Amino acid sequence: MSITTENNEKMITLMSSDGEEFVVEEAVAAQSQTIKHLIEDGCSTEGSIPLPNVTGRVLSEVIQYCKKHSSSDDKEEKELEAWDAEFVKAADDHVALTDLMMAANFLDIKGLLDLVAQTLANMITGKSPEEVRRMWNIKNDFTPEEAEKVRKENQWAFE
Amino acid sequence: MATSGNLSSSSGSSTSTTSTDNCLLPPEIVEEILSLLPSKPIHRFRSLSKSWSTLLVSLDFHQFRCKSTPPKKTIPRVLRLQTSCSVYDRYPSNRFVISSYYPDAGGFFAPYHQRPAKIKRPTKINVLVMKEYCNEASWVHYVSYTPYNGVFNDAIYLSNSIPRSAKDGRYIILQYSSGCIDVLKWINNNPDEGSDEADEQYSNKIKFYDRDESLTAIPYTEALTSPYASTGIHRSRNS
Repeated sequence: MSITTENNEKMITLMSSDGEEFVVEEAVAAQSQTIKHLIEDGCSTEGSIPLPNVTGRVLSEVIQYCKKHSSSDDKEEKELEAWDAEFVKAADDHVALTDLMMAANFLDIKGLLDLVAQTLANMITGKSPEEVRRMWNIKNDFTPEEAEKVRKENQWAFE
Repeated sequence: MATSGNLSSSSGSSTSTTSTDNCLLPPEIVEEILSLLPSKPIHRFRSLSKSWSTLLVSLDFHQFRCKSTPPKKTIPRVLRLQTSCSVYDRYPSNRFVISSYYPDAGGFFAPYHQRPAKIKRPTKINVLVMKEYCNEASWVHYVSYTPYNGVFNDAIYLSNSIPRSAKDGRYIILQYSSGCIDVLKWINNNPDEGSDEADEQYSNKIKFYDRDESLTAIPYTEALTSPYASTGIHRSRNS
């Protein structure tokens, strides 16, 4: 459904996978290329836009990010960077960050995707392969011989 | 009692459902994250799983290629690096020397030489060892070298970074943080060619140092597309 507020800002409604509805300004939502295309295709005129891949919890974080970044054209870049740093810090662990990243990927929000990817990359940089496997439940499908070979070839990276 | 049992089981299930533990990361997400990693974890995580390994190998090369675009006006050179001899490079922006390659130790020294004071030293050198230059499928080893204090000392011993398996390589590509690239072809001395070259390493060193023209430079694009063409210094693949 599209509503117009007093200051003539067009509002649209987003619905998360668990049925939560968020009413946001179009300019905020349009930071997501996915949503932008949906709006351009006229999907927003017939009620809310369903986002089947994003839960309400994640969507509220995404909207928080989009709001900050849509209203900050004239603000200092440094302040925005500090805000970004706080924002990913608040997401806390790799599970929340991974959820956020998948949402950013689905919604196609480049700034958020880059921000979270960098945070996760920093997070795993100092970790051992075993720790990273545990983080994302990745199966080690090497045979012991293969594993030993790969490890030997890259031995310097373990030191 | 029944209530507390319920509570504990529900809290247990909620922790497992909120996590993404059971679903693998989509490949495009993994790629996004891994492309931001520095070189060391890129190598370390190769042992993580087969799919990560494949991805990292291609990413690694991709990164190298992306960063390989030199600034205008620099001409990468294809230099000849012979067993046990020294090759000196003279760039307008950086003076750099590759010397004393030790095949048995699997490495070489890469010291600076007479660097003009106003020229900034590169803070990082990427070293790529390849079997066939410009053939993505054939590269043997890749390493980034960054010195502890932010600048390179006069000599860097790279042998720890280049494993013995890299001896299959025929090209060593050095990429400096300043954007310059050196492509070194390393020629193993075979009996009919070079038995006395090895003995003359000292004179080789002097010769290379004194005479710029003993280093053959080829244009960058050419170096990337046709390692064998028009350099004049390469023997054909089969000879």
